[in-house]
Parts: sequence; structure tokens; C-alpha cells
Amino acid sequence: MRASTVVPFGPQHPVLIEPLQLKLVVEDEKVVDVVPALGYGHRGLEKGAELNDIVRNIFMAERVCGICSFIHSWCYCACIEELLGIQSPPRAEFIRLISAELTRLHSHLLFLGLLADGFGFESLFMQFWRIRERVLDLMEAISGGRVIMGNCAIGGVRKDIDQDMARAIVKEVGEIGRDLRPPIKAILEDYTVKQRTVGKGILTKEEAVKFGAVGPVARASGLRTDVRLLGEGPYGEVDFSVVVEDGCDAYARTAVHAREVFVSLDLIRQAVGKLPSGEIRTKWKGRVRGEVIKRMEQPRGEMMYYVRGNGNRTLERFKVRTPTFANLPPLLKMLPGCELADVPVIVISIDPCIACTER
Amino acid sequence: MPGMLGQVLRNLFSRPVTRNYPAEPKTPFRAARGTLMLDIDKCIVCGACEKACPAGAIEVKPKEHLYKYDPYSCIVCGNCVEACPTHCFDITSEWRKPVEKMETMVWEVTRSKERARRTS
Repeated sequence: MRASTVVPFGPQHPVLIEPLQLKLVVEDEKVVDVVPALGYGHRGLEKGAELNDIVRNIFMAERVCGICSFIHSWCYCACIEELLGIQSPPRAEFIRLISAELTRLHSHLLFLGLLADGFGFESLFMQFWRIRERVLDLMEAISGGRVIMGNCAIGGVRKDIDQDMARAIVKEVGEIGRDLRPPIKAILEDYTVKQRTVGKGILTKEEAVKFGAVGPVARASGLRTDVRLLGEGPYGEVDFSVVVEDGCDAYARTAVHAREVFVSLDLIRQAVGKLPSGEIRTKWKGRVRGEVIKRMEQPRGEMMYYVRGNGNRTLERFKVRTPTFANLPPLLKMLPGCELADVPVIVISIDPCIACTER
Repeated sequence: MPGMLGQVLRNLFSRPVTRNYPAEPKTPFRAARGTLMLDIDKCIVCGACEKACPAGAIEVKPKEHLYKYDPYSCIVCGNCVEACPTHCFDITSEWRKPVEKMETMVWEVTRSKERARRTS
């Protein structure tokens, strides 16, 4: 019988930008078991949201995650709008779509850069992050915030996109798409990248269903799942295709992220072209009563919000199920059997976001 | 790696994308939420901004005639700008300068139309 050793991976580790600990049980260089340890980043946001009033909670919801922040505030506002029985104007819905897709774009570029950095391809990491900076500039020009946009409000959005800005968005999106082709070609076709990702961290289609994988992790295992496909809100009025790969490995997950970047760019272009005229905010009054569940597609996968109000100034219950929370069980399935040196790449390949998992 | 060679050569012979800060500061975007400015003379001490602030950066004490604003807790979300009935607030696109000592701003205010006085 071989002697096994427990190697702690994290909470501080060069490839992890957030505190996640995985206790790896290894035999020689092979990982045989994984025990996760969570809770380093718990902030009690759900309880905090029950103490605040419903408007202040928009800013609380936006800070659940530092990367996919806008979609959190959108989902929260959509929940409150449903409880209040109001509808945000079509123009506001399209501005929300543009903001959400910009968030997805910068999140995916962050992922691709971090993945390249994870296996030591730092030049590629710099290329992706240089382009990501332009997306952040676009977000700041639209809303005033580089990452935390603060643009969503109950009943619509707080800042409009004028014609000059719309033209600037289309121009910049076109240039970003053109400049992204060489680094994306590199990450998808490079020999070194393929050596580090192909066949690593296998999650079959059956396992993805069994362990409840969501988002790019599920789509890389051949599952055609995307909440945007339900066509809720403005997503019903734009054309887009869902990226699905059959590789089931870290390379397939990278490819899904890389190809989704172009889908987001196309969605932004379409939304700016179809931007309806009119108001950007519906007036509302009153307090929330009743309960609602909403799902939305984050860059990392499906997210669920549960909001319950009992007619008071504050909410009675606020619950968030984030995509990384659903993708952790599949990660624990991927790791046993891999080499110790492949653990960082496999962990990054699910695009973990620990801050929003622990809230 | 050979796929990146063209890009690497272009980078080698092109100007750096980083800015020569602080000699060349960034021009802020028009919509950028930089610093919250407060015109205390317009304040009627209603406390709407205190209720609206998600960060708890504003404290209004009508009985003690005090108005406190902590710019270092402020997240410049603009919620107080929307809540204020007399439009006391404005957000400029310039970011706040770094300081040596973080101090809460305190004003002495009254409900009457007397001019408010900054006490610290």
C-alpha cells in the first residue's frame, strides 16, 4: 500500500485570486482525494441585505461578486420589480443587456488571462488583460464605474446611452473583436497550451448532469444549457447561439470561454443597433410583499435569487445561489486521478469565484 | 508560442500602453463617478441622504445641529444625489486626491436659512 500525504492547496496560492482551500490527498504525484475548506471570505451579505431597505440592497447585491457585479444588481432589481408589479422600459432593458454583456466580456477575458498565467504563459496573460482594460474603460464611460457599474435601479437604469456613446460602443467593440483574434488563436491552437489543458480535468456529460454543473463548465461537457435561451427580457429580441463543446476537459472549457467572447461582442452590437427610444426608468412606490425566484446567466453560469418581503421596509429573506457554488461539486469530481502539477489549471478552468460563493 | 511571435514583435517596437503617471494623468470620463461634492448651504437637514446611503457615510443630527460626512466610507454610488429634495449633492468626474490623514467632515447646520458653518 502506498503512503498518502495531504497537501493543502490554498487559501493563499499564486494561481488563486481568492481564498479557497483544497486539501489534496496525494500518493506520489497523483491526487487521489480532495477535501474542500470554504468560509474564508464569508461576509454575511444575505443577513446584511435583510437589515437594509430595498433600494440600498441594490448596492449590496452588486457587491456580492466583484466581477459579475452588474448581473447581480439586475437580477435583484428584476425580483423587486416583479414583486412591485412594475415593468422597466424597453430602452432600460437593452441598456441592461449591454451592461451585462460587457460584464461577461471582461469576466471571460479575466478568465483567459488568469488561465494563461496559471500555466506560466505570462505574455498571453498580458495580451488578454490589455484588451480587458479597454472593456473596463467602456464600462466606465457608460455608467461611471469601472467594475462596479452602479447603473441598475429598481424600474430601469440610472444612466442613458446617447447617440455619440452608442457609436463609440460599436466602434470600440469592433476594434476589440479584431484585436482579440491573435491571443484567442494562440490560446486555442498553441502547442504548449494544448499540452497543459487537453485531457485534463475530465467531466463527462453524465457527470455534469449528476453533479449539477452550470455555465461554461456544463457547456464544455456537451450540455446545451444557458438561462439566456429562455428569452426573458431583451434576450428574446436578439439572435445568439450558445457555444457548446464536447471535449469535457480543461481545453473545452477554455474554448467555450474564448468563443463566448465573440458572442458577447455580437450581442452588444445587436443591442446598440436595436436600442429603442423612450424612458429609461419607471416610477414606483410601495413596499414589497410576497416571494419570487429569478434565474440569470452569469459569466460563470446560472445564478438564482430568492427574495421574500412581508410589506415591511426591509426584506424578510434574501438568498443567492451563485454559479461557482454549483460548480464546486464537479470540480471535486475532476481532480481525483490528476497529477499534482495539473491542479492549478483544472481549478482555474472552472473559473472559480469564491467571494460570491461565500457571500 | 510561435503563434504569438508576430504580436510579441509588434509589442517590442510599439509604444507602451501604460501611461506615464503622474506626469500624464488620465482624463476622466464625463460620466465617471469620482468625488461627491456637497453644497451644505442648500441643506434643510431632512435626513433623506442618511437613509439613502448604503455605506453609512452620512450622519445627520438635527437636534445637535450637526451634519457629518465621511468621504472615506463613501462609495460614490449617487443614491444620496437622487434622494436629496434640495439637490445639495453633485458628483464630479475627478477622483479624490490621496490624503495623509482621513478625517470625517463635520458641518454645523440649522433648519433655518442661516448659513451653515464648517466646524472641522
